[in-house]
Amino acid sequence: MIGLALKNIKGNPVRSLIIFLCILGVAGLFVSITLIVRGADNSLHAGLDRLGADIVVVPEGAESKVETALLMGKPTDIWMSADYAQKIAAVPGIDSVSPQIYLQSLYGASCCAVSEMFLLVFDPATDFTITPWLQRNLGRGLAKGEVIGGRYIFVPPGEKDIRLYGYHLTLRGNLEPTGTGLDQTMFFTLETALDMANSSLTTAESPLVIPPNKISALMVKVTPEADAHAVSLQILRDVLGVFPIESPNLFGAFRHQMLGLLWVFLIVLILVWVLSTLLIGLIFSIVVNERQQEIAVLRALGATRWFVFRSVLFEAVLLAFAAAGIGVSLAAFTIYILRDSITNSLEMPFLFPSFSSIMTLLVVVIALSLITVTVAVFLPAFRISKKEPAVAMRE
Amino acid sequence: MIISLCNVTKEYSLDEETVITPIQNVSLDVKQGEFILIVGRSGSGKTTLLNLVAGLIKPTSGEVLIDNHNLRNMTDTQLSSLRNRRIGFIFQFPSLLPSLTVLQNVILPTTFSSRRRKPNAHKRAADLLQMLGLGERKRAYPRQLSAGEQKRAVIARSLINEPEVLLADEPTSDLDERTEQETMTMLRETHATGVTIVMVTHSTELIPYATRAFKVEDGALLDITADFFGK
Repeated sequence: MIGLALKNIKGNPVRSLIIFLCILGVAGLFVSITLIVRGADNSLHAGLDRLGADIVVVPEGAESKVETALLMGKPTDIWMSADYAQKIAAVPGIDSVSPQIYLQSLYGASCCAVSEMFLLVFDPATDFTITPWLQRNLGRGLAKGEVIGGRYIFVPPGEKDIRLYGYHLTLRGNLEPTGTGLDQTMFFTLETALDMANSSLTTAESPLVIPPNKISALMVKVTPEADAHAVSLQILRDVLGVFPIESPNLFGAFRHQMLGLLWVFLIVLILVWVLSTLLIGLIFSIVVNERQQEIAVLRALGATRWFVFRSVLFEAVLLAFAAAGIGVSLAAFTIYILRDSITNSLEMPFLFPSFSSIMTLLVVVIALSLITVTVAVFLPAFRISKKEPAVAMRE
Repeated sequence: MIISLCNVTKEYSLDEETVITPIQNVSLDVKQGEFILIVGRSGSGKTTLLNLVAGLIKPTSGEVLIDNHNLRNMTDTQLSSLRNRRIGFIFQFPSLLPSLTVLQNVILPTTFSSRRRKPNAHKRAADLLQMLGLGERKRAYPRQLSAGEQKRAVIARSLINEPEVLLADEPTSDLDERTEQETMTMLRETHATGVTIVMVTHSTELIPYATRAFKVEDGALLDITADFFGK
C-alpha cells in the first residue's frame, strides 16, 4: 500500500505539491505563532523569576517606564526617596525589601551587543535578585569594581575589562538568558555605582549622576502566609507617592497586547486551516473521480473497500506527514534565525523554547496535520470505497 | 469451481421512469474446465453478465452461486477474497495502473491479501511476462506499450494468483488480426492448463476457441453451441 501511495503521489506532482504546500503552510504558520507566543511567555516567566519579587514598588506614575526598562532594557531615569524602603518594610505581611537604582550607559557602549545599556544597582545587604545567583556561582558577593552581565554583556575584544563612564569594571559572569531587557543589563553594587559616579566627574564625557538618598524601585517579598494582593492593597492605602505592581501583573500592558495579537493570530490560523482542509478535500474529490476506473480495477482484482479507503487516506497521510515535518523544521529554524529581529521589530521579549518543547510541538503539529487530512479526505475516500466497481468502471 | 446463474435479472434505473433490463431471467451453469464464449452486440448486456459472475454487481432478482455459495450472502471481504484468489479478470478497457511499471502491475493482485502474499510473486510475474513475450518490457510503464502488449500484460496480471476461472471482457477488441490471434492462443493455452474461461465478445469468429457458446439478445441468454459445432 505504501508503494502504491508513493507512486500515486509521484504520478501527479502538481496536485501533490498543492496539498504539500497547504499542509506545510498551515503547519509552518501554527508553529511560528506558537513559538512566538511561547517565546514571549517563556521570556516573561524567566524575567519574573530573575527579579524574584512578589511586588515591585515604583514611583507613582512611573509604572510603564519601569516595565519598559525591565522588559526591553530601555534605560530609564526614575527616582523616589530611599525612605520609602522603611515605610514599605513597616507594612504588615512583608518579609523583605530591597532597593534598586536604575541607571543608563552612555550611547554606543563598546562592551555590549546593544547600543544602549540598562544598569541595575542593587544593595547586597538586602538583595534577593542577584545575590542568590552570586552565591551559587561565585560563592561570594561582588566586590567594588565587579559586575555581572545579562546574556548580551561581554568584554570588548582586545580589552581586559569593561569601561563605563571611564571606570574599569571586571565582568565576573553572565546570567542565563531571559529574553527580556535583563539580558542587556549590567548588575553591580551601590558601592561600585557611587565609585563610578565619583570617577566619572573626571574621566567621562558626561558624568554619572546618582542623586543622594534616592532609589528607583523597591523589590518586595511577602511572608509565606501573606497574600501578595492584600499586601499590595495595603501599600497603596498606607504609603502615598508609590505604586505597587504585583508580580503576576508586571508587564500587564504587554500581556494585554500579546493577548490581542494572539486572538488575531488564532483567527487567521483557523481561517487558513478551514480553507486548507476544504481545498485538500476538494482536490481529493477530483482525484478519486479521475481515478475511479483505476479504483474499480483494484476492487475487481480483489481489493476490499477497506483497502481502497485506506490507500486513498494513506496517500494523504504520507503527504501530511512529510509536509508537517518539513513545515515545523523550517518554521522553527526561521524563528530561531530571526529571533533577534522579532524582539526588535515586534518590541517584545523572546526566549527561544527548549529543544524538548520543539519536539513536543513537532509531534502535536504532525498529529494535527494527520487529523486535518483525515477529516479532509474521509468523505471522498469513503464515497469511492462504497461505490460499486461495475458502476465506477462504466462512468 | 462451478458457477451457477439461476433466473438472474439485472435492472438499471436511468431515471425515475426509465428502467433498462440488460439481463432478464438468465440461467447458466459453468463447470470446471469449460471455455464459455458469450457473444452479443454492443450494449446487449454481456459485460453486465460478467460483472454478475464476478460479484461486482448484485442481481435485481435471482441468484449467482459459486460452488453453491450464494454471492448475495457474502460480505465484501469474502467477495474480494474470492475475486483475488480464484478469479482472474481481463477488462475491455486499458486497465493497467499508469503509475506502476508492467511488472508492478502484474504483481499488484498479490499485494491485496498479506495472508496470501506469495514470496515468489516477483519471480512468477517475471516468468509470466517472459512467457507472454514481455520479458524485456517489464520495467516499462503502460503508456510505453502498444495496445497488444498492454493486453498481454493484463493477461499476465489475471494469471498471477493462479485463478480457477478467467473472466475476459472483449479481450481482443481494438487489436489487429495478428495480435487478436496471439491473444486467443494464449487464452486457449491457459484453458488447456485447466482454467475455466468465461469470455464475452462481439465477434462470432472467435466461437471455435470455445467449448460452449451463448448469445445475449434482448436480455436473454441463448445457447448457440449447436449452431457452430453441430452438437
